[in-house]
Amino acid sequence: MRLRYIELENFRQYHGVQTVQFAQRENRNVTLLYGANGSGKTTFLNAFMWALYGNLTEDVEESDRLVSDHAWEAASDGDRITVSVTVEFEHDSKKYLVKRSVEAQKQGTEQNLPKSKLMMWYQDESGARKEVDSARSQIDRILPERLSRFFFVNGERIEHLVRKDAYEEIQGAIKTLLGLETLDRAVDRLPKVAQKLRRKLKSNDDSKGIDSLTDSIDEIDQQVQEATATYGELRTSEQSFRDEITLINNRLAAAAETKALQKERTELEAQQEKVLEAQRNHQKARDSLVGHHGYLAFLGGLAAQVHRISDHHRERGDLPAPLKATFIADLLEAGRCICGTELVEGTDAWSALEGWRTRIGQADVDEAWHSLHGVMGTFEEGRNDALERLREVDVDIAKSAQERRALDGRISEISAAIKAVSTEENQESLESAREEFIDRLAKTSREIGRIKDRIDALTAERAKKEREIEQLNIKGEANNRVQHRIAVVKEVEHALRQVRDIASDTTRRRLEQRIRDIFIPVSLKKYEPRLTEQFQLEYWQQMKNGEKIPAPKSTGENMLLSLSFVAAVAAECREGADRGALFPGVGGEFPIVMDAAFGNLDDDYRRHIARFLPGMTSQVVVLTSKAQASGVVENELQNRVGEQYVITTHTTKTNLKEVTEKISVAGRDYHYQVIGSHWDGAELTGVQP
Amino acid sequence: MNDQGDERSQIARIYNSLSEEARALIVEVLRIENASLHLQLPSGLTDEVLRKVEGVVK
Repeated sequence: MRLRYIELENFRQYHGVQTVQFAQRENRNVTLLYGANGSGKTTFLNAFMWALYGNLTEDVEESDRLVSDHAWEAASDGDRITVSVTVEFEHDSKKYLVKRSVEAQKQGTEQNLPKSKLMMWYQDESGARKEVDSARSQIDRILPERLSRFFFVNGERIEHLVRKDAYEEIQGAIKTLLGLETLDRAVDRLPKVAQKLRRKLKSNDDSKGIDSLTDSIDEIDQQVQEATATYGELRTSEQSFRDEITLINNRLAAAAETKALQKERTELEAQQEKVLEAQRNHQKARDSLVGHHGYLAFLGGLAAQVHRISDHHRERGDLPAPLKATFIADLLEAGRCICGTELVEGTDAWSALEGWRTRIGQADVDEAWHSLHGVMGTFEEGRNDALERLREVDVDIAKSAQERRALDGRISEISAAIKAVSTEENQESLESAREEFIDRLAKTSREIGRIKDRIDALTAERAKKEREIEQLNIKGEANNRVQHRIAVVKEVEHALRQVRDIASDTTRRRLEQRIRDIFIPVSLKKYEPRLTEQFQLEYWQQMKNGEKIPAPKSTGENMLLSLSFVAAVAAECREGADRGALFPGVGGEFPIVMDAAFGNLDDDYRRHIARFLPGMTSQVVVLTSKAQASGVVENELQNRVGEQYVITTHTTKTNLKEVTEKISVAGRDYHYQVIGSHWDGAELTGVQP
Repeated sequence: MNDQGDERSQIARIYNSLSEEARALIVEVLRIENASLHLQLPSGLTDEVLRKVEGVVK
């Protein structure tokens, strides 16, 4: 997908028809758009998402107000207003035009808009434009929505790829890349097919339970479906709470008054995480101890009691032993050995047994007594050892709990101190919002755990019901045929699961190598990235002794690692078509459109990222404020920029002071913010070369 | 690209270990799923796969 231009018509801040042409040259592949905070940079990024998929990202406020406020206010009730976004791009040597539009009729201030209309055309070999029949399907073939978030990126949110809970997103991207959704769908569908086949089994006298078992499986499937939907919704909420907390953390870290406090809190929270992990491990160790040796705790005094009883029996000589003297005496008295030999007094056989009776007796009892004492000694040692280990692990748990309390206390103090700071940005409300998100996050995480347990239990129950059906004595040729079909369906499902795991893992390893190749040369630290088997993106550092440990988190390194991941995904797509993939995945060049790439970073990281961006893929669109781009970023990008635009903010407010009204780009001044304008909104102006 | 060679040989082993009917069915199932991959809400696919099972597995 090579972007040619985008045209916005009355789309949110952008009044009227406004167009941006994208840089096309290989050595000048960057399109740079400058805009003040709140000017419409995120809206511009979202224009692509809306045109292609009909959605806006979650961080867009009042997402149902698509029509430019200026256009809406200027219209009279009953007037029709069109809002549209048109994108022209090339893909796989074909030129496409996508247009999504809504025609709204004004009735009051509320924008109750009808469903948007999507149109798509392509240019055939003769140059004629032809409409694409199923536009959305064609867009998904070119760039599936699930993958689009890696190419249309909000820099403030890209960092979350480095968090542990981003594994599903990364795993999803890998599957989409590889075309493994085909396998996913098949693996999901085959159990439904098997269930439909079970419905065809005819019950007989020996298999009366079949209908109720099949009904039970249907009910379980229904419950799993509902629980899975809830699980997905909860995961989305969990993610959005985490994103909000990160955004607030970043704002607190950026404000001079709260910077130090937030830095300390970030460090304490990292410690808190480690302590929590240690506490979990101690608790696991205790569970294991109690599970394996817990019974010993209830057997105190048992060894002493056994000793006492065994001593008593030893004195009486009746301690159980392998061969007892009484047994020999019984044989002699009976006059016949167990081998059948007659035992007559004075014969060799009699004498031999007499000899045995003398040799066993006390020695044998002693041996049994020693053996029992030995066993009881080991038992006592084991008991003491288990109790000692239990005491130690309890101490560890108590220590962790104490450390957590100390950390919690200091974190609460920091929270109170942040609330007390008086600044222009209301830190108290920011901190309160943070607390609320943390609270909601904790509740959601607990609920997720509960739902997951429920899904696991239902899945186990379903498997049990299936086994019960298999064990029924179902007779008849037709039934046998159905059962055979079910067995083949299960065979195929099992094979597809294996294939999916293999293909997914191969790509994960290939992607990890790409990330390493991209990240290591640009990282400012000696960090090594990893894409773990759980699809977690993380980095490690090597100690002097050669040991590798998880590297401390850094906003700059997180940003570089996340961008390296996106660049690796882009490379994977680029080479996907040539790879001769087993399954039809995603292939071709894709642009990267990125908002807020340089926020909260120092000059060194801004310089590195600016140097990194043009090489990420063949076409890069960067949205930034002038303040964030000035200096090192502009120096790095000056020879790579092919097109530049300024997003001018118009505001009817007149009493604003100390705002940047003009900026200088390529030696000319451009309006950046127009105070006291006759309208509110954004205007795109191309920078003269 | 050794990984890719390994991947192909592992997948080939899985395929070769299947019964003849399962091999025929796996091809049909993937073909049906592939054809419907870009449909937002494919309906009737389970029945289509079921019919294929009944056709392939006697």
